[in-house]
Amino acid sequence: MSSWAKRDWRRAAAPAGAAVALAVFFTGLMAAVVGASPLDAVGALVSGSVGSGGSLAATLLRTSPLLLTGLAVMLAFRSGVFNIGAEGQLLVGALAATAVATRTGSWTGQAVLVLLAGAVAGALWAGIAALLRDRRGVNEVITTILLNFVALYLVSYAVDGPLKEQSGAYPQSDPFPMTAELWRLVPGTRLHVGLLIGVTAVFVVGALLSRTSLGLRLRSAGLNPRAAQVAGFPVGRDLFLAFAISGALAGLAGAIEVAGVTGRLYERVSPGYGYTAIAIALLGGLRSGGVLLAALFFAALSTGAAAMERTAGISAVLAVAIQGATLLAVAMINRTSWTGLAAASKASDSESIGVA
Amino acid sequence: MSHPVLEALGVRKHFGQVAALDGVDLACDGGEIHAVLGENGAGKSTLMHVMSGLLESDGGEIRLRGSVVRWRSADEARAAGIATVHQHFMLVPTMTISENLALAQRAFGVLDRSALDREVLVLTRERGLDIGDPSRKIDDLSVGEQQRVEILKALADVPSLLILDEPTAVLTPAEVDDLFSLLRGLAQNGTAIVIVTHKLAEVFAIADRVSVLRRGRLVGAGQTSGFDGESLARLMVGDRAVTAPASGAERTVGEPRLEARGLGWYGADGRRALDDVDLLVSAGEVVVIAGVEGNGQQELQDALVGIRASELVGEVRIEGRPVSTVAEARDAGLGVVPADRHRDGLVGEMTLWENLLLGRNPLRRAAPRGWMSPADQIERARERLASFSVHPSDPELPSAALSGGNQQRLVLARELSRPDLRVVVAVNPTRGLDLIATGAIHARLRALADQGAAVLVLSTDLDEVEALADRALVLYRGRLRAAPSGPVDRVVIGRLMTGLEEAA
Repeated sequence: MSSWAKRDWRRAAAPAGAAVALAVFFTGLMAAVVGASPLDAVGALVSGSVGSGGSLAATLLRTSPLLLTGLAVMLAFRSGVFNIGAEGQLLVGALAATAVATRTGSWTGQAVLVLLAGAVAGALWAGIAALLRDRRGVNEVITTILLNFVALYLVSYAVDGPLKEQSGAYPQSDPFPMTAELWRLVPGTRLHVGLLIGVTAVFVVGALLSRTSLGLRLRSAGLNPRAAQVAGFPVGRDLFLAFAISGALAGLAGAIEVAGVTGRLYERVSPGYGYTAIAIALLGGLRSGGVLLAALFFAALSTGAAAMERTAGISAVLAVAIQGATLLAVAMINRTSWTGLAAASKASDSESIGVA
Repeated sequence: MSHPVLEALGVRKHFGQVAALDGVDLACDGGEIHAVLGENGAGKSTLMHVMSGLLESDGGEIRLRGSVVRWRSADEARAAGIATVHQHFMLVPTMTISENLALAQRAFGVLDRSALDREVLVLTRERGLDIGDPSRKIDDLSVGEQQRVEILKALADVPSLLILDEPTAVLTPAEVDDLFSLLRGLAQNGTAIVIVTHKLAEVFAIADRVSVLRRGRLVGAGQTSGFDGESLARLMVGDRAVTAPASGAERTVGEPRLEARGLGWYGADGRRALDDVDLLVSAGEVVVIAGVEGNGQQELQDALVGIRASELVGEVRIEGRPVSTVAEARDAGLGVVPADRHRDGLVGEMTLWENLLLGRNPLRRAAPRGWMSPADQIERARERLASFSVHPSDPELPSAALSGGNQQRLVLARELSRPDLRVVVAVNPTRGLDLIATGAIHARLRALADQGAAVLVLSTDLDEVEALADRALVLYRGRLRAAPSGPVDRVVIGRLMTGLEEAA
């Protein structure tokens, strides 16, 4: 491994290590505050997230959507695109995937089209925000947030309308046919091939950013759009690509979630993966390796919290508080992720430059 | 004997492995103008940062009127009467001149803008430093005007020590004279003044004392009268040769390469940044457009590079073909050395090797199929950085870690080493560079013309006009005037630059 690659991984690993240590600390603290044993709480958190095959599988299952949406947000931020809309892109991806799965019958290889539909839908959904920024100079922070709500209501309309289950009992879609579901990796668990897709995406996105000309163009536009313009880069086209790739990753996450975990679409299909993704991207230092570690960490924290509630009597809601406290503490220790954030926001403010 | 206003004793400062300052002494006496002379990267700015509280030293001490101080911040130094005019302006571009001055004064509460403007006008009169209408936004000012705002900001506090870091780089000869008489007046009133420079002429023009830095060490100091140009130059650069190689053989001017017709930049508010500019640069010649900052240089640069603002009319052709986008201009063989390298030329957070690929043509060569190997590019960057003397030359450093002169070399390394270079547009290519670097860049630009490229230089520096121009033009208030043909006459050009004389 070259010194260059090593440095990249070391930069990602430092905040991740700090995050784990701080999470343990805050868990103990929370337990003490509510009058439980800190040791029991931490023990329950650890064993409930990585302590057994079953719990490890549950954690890894949770990792896939967090990882893909985290990568989506990271890639956008690095490109100077403030995509806060991974949640909406994920939902639209899940919607499109469900349409293909439940409205085209059942046929071999259907799962591939299901995932593809999710990615394309996510890309197009993000494309709306790209179009508004490129043509009208509308800040994508606003458009992507608003589009999240549109996507949410679109899903809730679909599961109570065109995609509602045939039996008509609940506002949810029909279950996916077997041919539209993702292959299981480990028999007896729900762990599916989506995890492999996510891990592959880590390497693909990492290589895209650091080893391709598109990646260099995107990063330079993210850090100094004017220099990218003077360089003669196709800044306008690249902006669309950044939105589209980011949206595709989030849409893919949505498709994987319905095709691999829930097996059908309903309104609350995402517990806010796309929002957690922003925290993951930043905690991961806006680097692909860091995003992987951060996604694993957030996944472990949420599966572990459920176990903590059962055994130590600490409400799982506290897990969210632990996540938040950990994130803030890591941000204070490790400022690089915020530097990236500042650069991204600076880039998105430079609308006056226009696009050649 | 009275103590110096501010004194540095044995100051040391390391950045990683590099010793930026290695035991440097400097004493600033009231009423005295002290020049700190040195090449880029000699440690001049670092020393000023340590003295003004921006950086903490690793060793040595700072004494304020004889007693040791440890600045905890630049604010603390400022409160003690140490004012600095930085090379990079510290102004809020979206705010007006008055607002920036109020901000520097830590004004808070409700601001009465018109009262503020009136106060600023009074201040400008008192300090003898004209900055025009104080309700203008910094964004709308030329670099030279912005610097005047910076100086006014520093003077508002009536400092006991005024540090100016390369203050003349962006000024016209007349403005330099104004600045120098202003500084002399301040010194007569007892202010200690430190002027950081790499221009020998300035030392003799203004300084009572001079201290010479080379590679972080103090290599000479004393009364200016005790030195001559030769001895100072030798101290500054060591034993290397100072003179730039003379211009090459007589060139033959070839076919037209870069043409502009009827270029106009007409703002909605009636501002005419460019007014009916026609321009022709042929293969094998160096054309220099002289002019004071803010007379349309930025707009002309953008137009020639292919950035089409909606205010722009007219046409640009390279080798007869119209170019209306940056991509077209670049593909036609255009290399650009932009006026503002931080904004237009480099990505500070990116590494040196990545910055060398920051152009559609070099990037396409490095990654013909869109795919590149960082390890290969790092290796390739090493040679390129060495041949353009970029220092430090570790390709994996971020470009922001380089000194200004080395950043400029980095831009040149990218823009001038294209094998298919046809036209060069360089705006103030040697701004902020030392003698040797300036000579080397001038030689390179001339060599490019010798090899048949069309070279257009926009410059605010008369020395540069003289050193480079086969043909000189002057840009004044958006209009282009031809200087009289024959050898460059700096008096005539100087008058054209300031609008004192109509073109012949």
